[in-house]
Amino acid sequence: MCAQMYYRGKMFGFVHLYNGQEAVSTGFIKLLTKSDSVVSTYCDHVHALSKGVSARAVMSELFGKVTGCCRGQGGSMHMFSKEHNILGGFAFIGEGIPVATGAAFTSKYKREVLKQDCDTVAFFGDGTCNNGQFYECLNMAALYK
Amino acid sequence: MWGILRQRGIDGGGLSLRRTRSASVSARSYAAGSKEMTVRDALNSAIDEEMSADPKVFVMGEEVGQYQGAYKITKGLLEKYGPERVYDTPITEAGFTGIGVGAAYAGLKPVVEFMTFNFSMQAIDHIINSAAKSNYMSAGQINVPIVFRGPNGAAAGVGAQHSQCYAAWYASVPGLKVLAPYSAEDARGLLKAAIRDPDPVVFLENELLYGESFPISEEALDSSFCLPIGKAKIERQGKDVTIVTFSKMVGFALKAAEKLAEEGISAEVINLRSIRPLDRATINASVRKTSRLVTVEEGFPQHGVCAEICASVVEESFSYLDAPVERIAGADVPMPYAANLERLALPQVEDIVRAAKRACYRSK
Repeated sequence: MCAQMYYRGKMFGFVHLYNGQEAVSTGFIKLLTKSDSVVSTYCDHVHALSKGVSARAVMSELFGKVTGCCRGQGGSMHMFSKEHNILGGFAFIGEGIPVATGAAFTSKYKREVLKQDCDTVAFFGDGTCNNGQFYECLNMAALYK
Repeated sequence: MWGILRQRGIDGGGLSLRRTRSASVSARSYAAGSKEMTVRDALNSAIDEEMSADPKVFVMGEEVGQYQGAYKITKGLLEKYGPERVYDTPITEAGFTGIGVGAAYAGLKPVVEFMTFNFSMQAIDHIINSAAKSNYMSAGQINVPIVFRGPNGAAAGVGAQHSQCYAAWYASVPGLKVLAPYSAEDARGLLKAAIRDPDPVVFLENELLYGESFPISEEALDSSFCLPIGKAKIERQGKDVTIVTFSKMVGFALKAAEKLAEEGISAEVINLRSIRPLDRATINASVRKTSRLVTVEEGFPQHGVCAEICASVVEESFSYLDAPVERIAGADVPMPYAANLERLALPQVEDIVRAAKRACYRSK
């Protein structure tokens, strides 16, 4: 549907599809609670849907409408939802990994310093494993665990 | 030194100290009632007090913990707050800046130190794309209460890759706030305001100012002291020419004003304090009074902070100008290493004096 709309010129800019991979993220996100966080890439439509953002809000966002989850200000690649703890779709490869690591770090900090509890999942593609930030975060996650 | 005094001082307060926002001053009296403070101690005390008042504030950066800070700004914090709140990072700016931003998304208040802002270029994607733009992209759902701080601009003989001023680059980005303190009072008040602010703040310090002492008022020493973001300070009143600048150049402008006074020219010196938002109202009100403008910065001249100030004045106060606007900036060249070349590449007091005189004689 998104692809059709894109080719007809109703959706514009960038639209990145997640066809065939939906099962992966859906499986993970099903195990999370509402207060757990998800950080995504530019293929973030399905993650937003799985986490609980309404289909209407996601589609509206793709069309740039004010009824979208980010009032049309984010677009296809930048789906955010404070209510459902979606901490963004990020355009640059690997950009979301440190942000997710930071959200996970917050879980640890909240547990140790503020005495509260929550989890984070980051989604990224296999090509991202080439990216330096990925390794920097693996290192720091191990260092600060 | 202030860190140690504080530890001996009003304890029992420690981590559970409730910070009062009231305007009334219940000033802590520090030993000896000293009224001077270095910028280094001002910054240290500001971070200490904000960490004490809010357990969500934490510090992260290279050498901030065990080494006590590359420039000793975070001295004593690891001992006082422990490794759960003061994090030494590996040399991975992109990684730890992103982690700081993610932590801010999730509700904490990180204070991320860059050893110098030159290294922030390794992390600039996170400062701009993950921090600055998120509030807008999420239509206000996500806010990012993070502070990026560290020394900015030229030091002494550190060469081209360690001397760039980033004020113009960061101040051009919507979604960021950019502050540049000069005095100890600026350092304390602006850093506390930055840490309390719900938006990402780029806090540009100056290495050569860290050791300088400034007089400081009792009000500024109070833990609830805070300066407003977006408001410039008129450091010296004058009526013949307005000199606008920030950070270390404020000191140079004040010296230039002294020299100009000897020749009968009364210069008004404005310390911007805040590069973004820029206090256009104060700048324009001053130019409407003096009719002449000299802007000064250390950074590269093209597309600099001075260019923006000149444009603002020409757009808003054109009919009040009696002379073309003057712009004094660093030379359009990567910073040389040799001391004599470095001196030539940066604005000096004589350059400011010359520009002010040029602005004053034009109408004759």
